[in-house]
Amino acid sequence: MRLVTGQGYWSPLIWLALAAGVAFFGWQFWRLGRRPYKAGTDQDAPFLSGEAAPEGAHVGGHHLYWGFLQGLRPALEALRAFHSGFLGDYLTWTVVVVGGCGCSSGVFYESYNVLGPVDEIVPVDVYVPGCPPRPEAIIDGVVKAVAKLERLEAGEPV
Amino acid sequence: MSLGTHLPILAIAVPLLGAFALPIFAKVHKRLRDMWAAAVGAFTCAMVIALAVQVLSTGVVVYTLGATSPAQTVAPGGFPIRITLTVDGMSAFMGLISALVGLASLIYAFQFLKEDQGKPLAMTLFFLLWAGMLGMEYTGDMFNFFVFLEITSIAACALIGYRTWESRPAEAAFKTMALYTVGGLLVLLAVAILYGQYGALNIAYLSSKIGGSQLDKIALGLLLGGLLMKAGAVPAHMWAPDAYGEAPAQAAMVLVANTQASLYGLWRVLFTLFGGVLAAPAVGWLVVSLGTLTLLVAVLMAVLQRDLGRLIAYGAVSQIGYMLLGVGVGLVALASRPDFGLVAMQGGIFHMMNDAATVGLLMLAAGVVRRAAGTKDLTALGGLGHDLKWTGGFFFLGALALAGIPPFNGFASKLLIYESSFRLSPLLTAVAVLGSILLLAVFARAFQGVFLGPKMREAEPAPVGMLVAMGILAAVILAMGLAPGFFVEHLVTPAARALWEGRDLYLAAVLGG
Repeated sequence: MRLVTGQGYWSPLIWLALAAGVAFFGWQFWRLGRRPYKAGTDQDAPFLSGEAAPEGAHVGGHHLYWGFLQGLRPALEALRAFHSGFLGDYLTWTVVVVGGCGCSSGVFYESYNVLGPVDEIVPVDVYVPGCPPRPEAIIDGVVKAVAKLERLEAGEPV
Repeated sequence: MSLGTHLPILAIAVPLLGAFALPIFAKVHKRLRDMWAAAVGAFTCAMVIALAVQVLSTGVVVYTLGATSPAQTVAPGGFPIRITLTVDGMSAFMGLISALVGLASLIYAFQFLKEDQGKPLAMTLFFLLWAGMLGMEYTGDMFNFFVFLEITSIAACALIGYRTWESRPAEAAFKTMALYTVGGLLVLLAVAILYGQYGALNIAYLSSKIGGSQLDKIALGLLLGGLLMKAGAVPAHMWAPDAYGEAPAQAAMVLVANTQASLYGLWRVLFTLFGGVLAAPAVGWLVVSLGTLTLLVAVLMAVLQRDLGRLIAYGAVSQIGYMLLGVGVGLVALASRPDFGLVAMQGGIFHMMNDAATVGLLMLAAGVVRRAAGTKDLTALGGLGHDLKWTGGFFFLGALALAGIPPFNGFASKLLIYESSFRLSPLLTAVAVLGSILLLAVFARAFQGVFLGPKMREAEPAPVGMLVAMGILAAVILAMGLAPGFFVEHLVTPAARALWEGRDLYLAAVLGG
């Protein structure tokens, strides 16, 4: 049952025999450590900063590997942006909503023929409220949009 | 007129007939429908296995459609005008993969699909997809290959999106359909270029005529693009996680086998159709670099996923990278033919069968989880191992095998790829090993998150039929893991040799002399 790989061979049966031997010696060492152990005492209880372990708590699959994910974060963030499907992740742009209806749907909120507000459909960067918006509000919106573009061009997080 | 001479066409025609007759039987009675599906499935598997035995014992099997005798491949003028089915070692091996996956999927589907949620529809589309896959693998004609490619595309998209009462399958099906259409059109354009130049569609005849002109190179590029798009290699893999994640479990594993049928088409194009003119290793390096990129990007994306279906889907995409790497190393080495080239091809081709079995097992287990818990969100799942003991065990086995942990089959094929790609460039091996380590991390997380922990909800255990389907795949994984030498010697090596040095035999079987 050997698999010849060109540089050597691989035989699962030999590997299993070796693994069984290692497991046997490991079990012997483990038994040595079991002698002072008593089940059902405080030795069993997990030690969580002095608190008793919460009942039924489960560390979910996604919470493992926090440090692993942090270490890979630059690569993963770049890949996530490639796969996200949001145009804003590929192009530098700013969405500005002018007017109260776009910001909040106004009095038409949850009407049968209105899909909105706008930020339920595309991510919005700057809101300019008012119906109609005052000139000061529009100037404020332009300033905020320019500030966002400058941060993006400097490569800072938005 | 014995049955044995008509095996290639029967293996395609029977599931096709099964697909179109199934809705009629379903109108009569559901028990009749199930009996028909079981009979068609069993008969198709028997045909595929008998054909594989025939090919492995006697060599290339050729079947001509529309001739007075199936062996009459060329018309009197010495020109192959009729469609031929040409089954060599590689085709027979791919047929066995399709048969294994199809059988497990069918057994699983009987109890997994609900009567009021489109069961006849899903079974019909499954048989159509199965017939298309077997057709892609057995055909010896470029245009016929395109037709079967489109059959699988349409059946696959319908199978992803037939659950119209949910929103996400429709979106996944649309995305898949758009990309499959683009890929199919690229293949069609390449076929048109070849037909325009040589006036023929038969692969063997084209292969004997292709001289490496500029138009031939364009056709090769189009075929590479179209088939890699359907196989889900990295620059065009974005449909795969949506499709595998949203399709019902029994369909998702057939979709994986379908991507492998596209990969088979790629191998056929590279080694047989263009085998005479591919002296420069540039194309081989392209395949190798795409494979390395695929396995690294897909596995890093799998780390990020919170949905069990999408996580397994990215794992499946990364396995495509290992196949491309293995066979690509063989393609780079094709001109000088050193020993490690054949070993690399063996590894890549062995990995196709391992991937079909292990990813299939994981997807079926994920289907049981979805059925029991109603969600595939890893942040919400936990503690299912208390109720789903067998499913948890199968998932664990599949995860270890996919990550390439020693006594299982994934290790055997990855070892062949590592040791041979090391001879080409140690960097490739380093990236491949890194991919495997990340894959183990990903699946350890998935297993811990889904099956371990305190019991959080009552879960209904999987019915016996679904466990049998997973048990078949688990038995195949264990057998291939514990006796890799046997499988490599009797199944994989004939397939690898058919590509590596079997082009002359392939041409001689069709064109004579």
